[in-house]
Amino acid sequence: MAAAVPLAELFATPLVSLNRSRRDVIEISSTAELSDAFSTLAENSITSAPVKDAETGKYVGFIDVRDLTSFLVHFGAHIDEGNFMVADVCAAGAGSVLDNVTVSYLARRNPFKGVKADATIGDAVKLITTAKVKRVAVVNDDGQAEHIISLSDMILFFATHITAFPESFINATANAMFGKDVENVLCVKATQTVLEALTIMDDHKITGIAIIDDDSGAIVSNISGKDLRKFIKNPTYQQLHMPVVEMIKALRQASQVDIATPAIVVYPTTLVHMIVKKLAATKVHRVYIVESESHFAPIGVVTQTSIIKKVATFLPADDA
Amino acid sequence: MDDVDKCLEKLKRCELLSQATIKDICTRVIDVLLDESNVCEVDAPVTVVGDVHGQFYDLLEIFQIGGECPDTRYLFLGDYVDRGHFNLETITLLTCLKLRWPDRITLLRGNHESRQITQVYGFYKEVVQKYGSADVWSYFCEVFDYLPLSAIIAGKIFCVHGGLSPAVLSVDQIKLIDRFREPPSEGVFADLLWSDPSDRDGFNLSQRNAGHLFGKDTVERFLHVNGLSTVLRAHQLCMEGYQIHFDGLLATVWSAPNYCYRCGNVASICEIDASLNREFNVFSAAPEDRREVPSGQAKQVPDYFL
Repeated sequence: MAAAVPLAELFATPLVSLNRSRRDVIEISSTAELSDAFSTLAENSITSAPVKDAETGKYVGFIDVRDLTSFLVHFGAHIDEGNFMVADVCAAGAGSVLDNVTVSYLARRNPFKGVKADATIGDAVKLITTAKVKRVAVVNDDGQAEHIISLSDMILFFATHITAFPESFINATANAMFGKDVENVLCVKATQTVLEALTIMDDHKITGIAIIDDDSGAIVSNISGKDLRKFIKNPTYQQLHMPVVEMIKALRQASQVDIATPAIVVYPTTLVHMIVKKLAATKVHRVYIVESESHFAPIGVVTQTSIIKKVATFLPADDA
Repeated sequence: MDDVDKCLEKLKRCELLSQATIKDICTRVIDVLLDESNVCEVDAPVTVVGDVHGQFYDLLEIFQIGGECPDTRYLFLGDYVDRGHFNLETITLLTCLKLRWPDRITLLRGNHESRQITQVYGFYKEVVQKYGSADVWSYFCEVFDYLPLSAIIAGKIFCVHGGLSPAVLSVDQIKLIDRFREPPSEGVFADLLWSDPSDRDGFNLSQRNAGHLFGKDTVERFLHVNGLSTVLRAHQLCMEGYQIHFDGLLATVWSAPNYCYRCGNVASICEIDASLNREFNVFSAAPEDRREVPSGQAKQVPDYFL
């Protein structure tokens, strides 16, 4: 682990140093077909991409896998039966019930927040917590996005430098820091359909949800942004109406060679530094707090955003 | 043991046993496994087998290539079930071999020998499809609870499914684990079944959310403290059938060719002679004319996700 760095120095670290991928920013034109936009996310294994207006050259916003959730929910509500592929409906054009759902329409719901090349990590933390964005674009003098820094990039950075934070924070328990918040742990039962799960996710504007056993309420698995990206490669009507647990099993079997555990959880006594390291190591966007090994029902959730919000409380006074 | 011999004949023809017979075999093999330590002592020569994952015809290939049990002494490193089309036949055959020749075959526990994992990755579903209920699955899950966690060949080669644990420096510590249960998600038990070698020194959290990543320095320390020469493990797909790590201090053996019937890899078994010389015998998937395609069995993975 890196030697402890003073917090002020940590927050002053240039934001661009967090860019791990070193690849060009993948952008989508406002004139792109919806199915092509979603395919771009899936093929590049990214959760979102900036949308640029084809006429003005300005960024409209981000298109995100959450938008696909909304799209599928809308589609599922209007199609009664049949063997339709979503891609077919996207391409249907005139007469389709989804005519007004364009790339630009969806992107405007996820604002594009850009910072200059000399922005710091502290600037990004402040932007994420005040503007409630999931990613920060670093733009050049021409306004062109050159780097997209995600919450995952930031969590990895903070996990590496976790000892910079006060002991009272990093050694606090999950229970003390994030509390028991059962009402706000959004779940879907294993036998509910994929469409029902996506509807809950869309209603609450989230990219992840716990899947729980119908009888015991124990966490069985979860739907994540990664699952949604794989799902959108070739979604069909039948898949929308499958039990959600069967869908996740099929996705995991197809995509994982060296497997991970089906559910990623922490306990009320898990320390904050372990939670941050676990988020960084597993690359998931949230972990669920469960009571114990024998009582696996979720009683809370810790997301990347909730960690960043706690980190924000340590911003130097003039930045906070 | 006449009854077990009859079972073996049937199984080698890829025929399933009755539910009552399986229950009886499982009960009897638990008695055998109860006497085994968490760290089994295995003599050389021995042939070590990595993940098999329900690829029954490739298991038969292994016995063709390595020799039949009991002529050849075998040590299996776990992951007998999930992913393949014949998880039941595979685990039933291995269980019967263990019952018939307990001193000639050692079966360790892998991370897939677990209620939680088998409910997601195929074994549970196959049992319900073939037997109409989950009873046989629960019989085998109970057997899994008794499988030993590791082995040492001729006092020198440490064998385990996954890898090392930050909480274990001495082999004696492994002997103290209460293994007769579903594997927990954290701790030494989980580490032995889930850990992976890594280029980074020390122990680090794993992307698998179980076990740890362990570096060369941890292997050196473990071998030195315990007077061992090498570590042999499985758990990770190797396209070439095996992989040597850390200048030969650790090796991964992978025994499921063309994994999931689509990965296109070869597999291997690790043959260790009486002088502890190690040779990886590489093999490909069983020829088409020597395997059956499951009839009437729903595809485990829908095509649209491949």
